[in-house]
This record gives sequence, C-alpha cells and structure tokens, in this order.
Amino acid sequence: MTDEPVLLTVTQLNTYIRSRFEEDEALSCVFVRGEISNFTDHYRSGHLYFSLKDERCAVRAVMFSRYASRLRFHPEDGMRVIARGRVGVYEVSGQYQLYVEDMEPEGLGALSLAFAQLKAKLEKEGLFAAERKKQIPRFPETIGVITSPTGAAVHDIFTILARRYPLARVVFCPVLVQGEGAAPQIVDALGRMNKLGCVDTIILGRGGGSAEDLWPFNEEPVVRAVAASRVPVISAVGHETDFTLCDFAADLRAPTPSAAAELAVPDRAELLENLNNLRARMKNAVFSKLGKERQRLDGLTQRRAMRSPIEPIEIERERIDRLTEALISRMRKKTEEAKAALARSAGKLDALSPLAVLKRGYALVYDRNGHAVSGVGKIREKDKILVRMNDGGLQCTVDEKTENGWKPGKAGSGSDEQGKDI
Amino acid sequence: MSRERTFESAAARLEEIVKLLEEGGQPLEKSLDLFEEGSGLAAFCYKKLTKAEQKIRQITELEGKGGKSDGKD
Repeated sequence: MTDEPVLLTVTQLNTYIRSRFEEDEALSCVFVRGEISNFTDHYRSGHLYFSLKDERCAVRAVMFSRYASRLRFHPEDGMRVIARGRVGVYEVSGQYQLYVEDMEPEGLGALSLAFAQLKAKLEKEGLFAAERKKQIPRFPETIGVITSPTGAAVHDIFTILARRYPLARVVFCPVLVQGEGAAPQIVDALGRMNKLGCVDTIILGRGGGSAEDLWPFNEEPVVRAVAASRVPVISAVGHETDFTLCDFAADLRAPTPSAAAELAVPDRAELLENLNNLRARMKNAVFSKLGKERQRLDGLTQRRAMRSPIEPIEIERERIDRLTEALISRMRKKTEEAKAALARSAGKLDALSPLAVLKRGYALVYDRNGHAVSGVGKIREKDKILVRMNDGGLQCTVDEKTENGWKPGKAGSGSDEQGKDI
Repeated sequence: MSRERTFESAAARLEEIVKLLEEGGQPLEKSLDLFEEGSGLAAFCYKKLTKAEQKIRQITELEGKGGKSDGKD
C-alpha cells in the first residue's frame, strides 16, 4: 500500500478520515471559543446547526437535541460562546465538524444569559408591568406559604408571622425549591393555593443558595404561574442581592424570607400601639366634645338673664317705661290734636248755636211747660211764660198779646218788663 | 365562611369612629353612642391581638375539605 497507489472510494476515504479523527484523543474533548453564525434551530428534531468562527476561520458545528434541550439560553448569531464537544467527520459530506455537547455564553454564565433573555421576553409580554401588581392585603386572615419544609426559611417565616400577627392562619405547602422537580412543584403549589379560595397572600421563597440552586425561580412556568396567581404573591428568594424572575413577576419582592413574612402582615406591637392611640384620640374627642358642651352651657348660664333674675325685669321695666312715655306723649299729642279739632268744631257749632244768638241780645221764650215757643199763637194773655236771655231768665206773665205785627206798648204798662226785649 | 366581624373590619370602623368624633360635628348624644361603639371595637381588637395564637395547617388538610376553608378550626 506504500508503493502502489490505491484507488479508494469516497466513502472509504471519508470513513478512514473519520476513524483517524476518532482515534485522536485530543479531538475527543475540545473547548472552542468562537462566535455563532448561520445558526439554525431545527424545529422538528431539536438539533442545532451553526458555525463557530473567529476573525480568520470558521468551523461547522452541530448540537444534537439531547444536549440542546439542556441549554439555558437560546444561541443566536453573533453570540460569543465557549463550546465543549468532540471533533468528528460527517461522512456524507466529508465535512469535519464540532459535535457540541455543552455551550456557555462567553463572559456571561449561561444562567445569567438565560435570565436576561427570559426576562426580556416576559417583560415584553408585560408580565412584570407595575399595573399588574396586586395590593397586598393589610390584614390577611390566611397566609399561604410555599417553600421547602426543611431549612431556615420556613422556620423564619413561621416565627415572624407568629410574633407579628398570630391572627393570620398559615397554610403551608411544602415543595422542592431546587433541582429538577422544583419548578413543577412550585407551579402546582401556586395553583392549589389559588384553588383553596381562602388564602389572602402567598409567600413564595427559599433561603440563599447558588445561582444554580435558585434557578427554579427563574424558570418560565414558575414565573408565569406567579404572574397568573389571583392571590397576591410576595416572593422572597435567597438573599437581598439575589434577584429572580419570580421577584419581577410577584406583586411584591422581599429581600429575604424573613422580610417577606414581615411584609405580609402588620406588626402586632404597632397595632396595639395604634389601638391605644385610637382609644386615646377617641377619649380626647369625646371629652373635648363634653368640654365644649359644658362651655356652651356655662356660656348660657353666664348670660345676664341667667346670672341675675332681677336684671331682665329692670330692663323690661325700663323698656316698658320708655314705651309708656312714648305712649303717653303720643296720647297727649293725640288728645291735643283732638282738642284742637274739637275746638274748631265747637267754634263752628257755637256760631250755629241759639245760645250765641242770645249773646247778641235775643231772647228765647218758653211756655209754662218748658217748650220753646216760636210764635205768639199758642200764648194767651195772662199766661205765664219764661224768657231766657243771655245771662239769665225771667218769669213773666203776658199782659197783652198782639198778633200779626209788633206794636210796642209802654214799657211800664205791664207788671213786668218782658216785652222790652221781645 | 361565616361573616363574623374581622379584625380588619373592626379596626376600619374604629378609625372611622375616631375620625367622626374628631371632626366634632356629631351631636352629644350621637358622640356618646359612637364612643361606646368605639370602645367595644377597641376591646375586640385588643383581645384579638393579645389572645390570638398562630395556627399552621398543611395545605392537604384544607384540600381534604373540598378545597374550601371553613375559616375556623
């Protein structure tokens, strides 16, 4: 085979090359740094096909689905990675390639990249939006706790809930919080808590651990279940510096499980203080109300009317006096007016009065019955008559009677002077 | 779940009463009624806070009751 050329089939050649590759220990496990290009995700088989390249060269690479499914990030073109695998030959095309078994984003851990990617995706969906956040009830009656039954977290949560607010009943759902089975158990627990219908707040969490340990709280189904929970969720995973996607999806993020318990319930000591405060305020309000009422009453009794019962009488008397005076003066005026009016009327009356006529020298004649007589007709001689004059009266006897005219007789011819004025 | 008075409702009513009393717009008679009611609520809350003991139940215990809590023991 050394001297004579051997004619090979293509298949023989490729098989030979392949066997040479496989014999090479150095190629059975290599770590290659490069940038992904021509990435193809075969949607049916799940195998990943791509190239790794640097500034000068490129190499074909394939990652079979059984390995690809373990990836915690989605490879993309342009992504710089470190791939682990073996170098082999694909006989059909005679192409050598890298059979990738594991891959890490360069610089970034796979987990953190996966974290960033899933976070970006869910954020875009609005799962972390502030307006989705539900209010944590201030006075929960039942608290759901989802965490590992072992470890410090569960103990811390129970202790703090008992100390701060023992009024709240605790419903505990133990779950795995790390490893393969954790995510499905957490999702299941969230569903069951929601189904119970009596849970007011859910605390979901675990104590500190490696990024790997905390990973279930970054898994998509868990994050989605947290976001979908109708019961408000407080997430508390790891330590203060650990952030998980659950924290973003939860209605409230607590830095630690203990803190979650503190955020979930009010503090009994504060409530008692507040209660005392309310009591005091209530008392103050009522006492000040009573005080005001008393003041009002005092104000009433201190008014002059209440202080001395005599005063109002005096005031009243004064008032009456004033009124009386006014009345009197008005009456006086009225009387004067009336008098004046009367005088005026009297004057007029006077002018018409027969008495006034007497003043002017006339006299009235009455018969013996006292009836005024206006003519001589009814008077006979010898009759007694009365003559009324302005300043007195005369009793006279008629000596002589003249009808139809006045014939004055001698003044002394009769026994009286009656005729003198008539 | 029976709708008996909860700590929350009692505390809320108490705060309301204190506010009403502090506003002072109530007639004296009404103020005294409110005060009496408030004192009762305060006593209730106080008792709840000082007498309560934590109860921890496994979720399976409640699920055994058809998934609904009776709210009591």
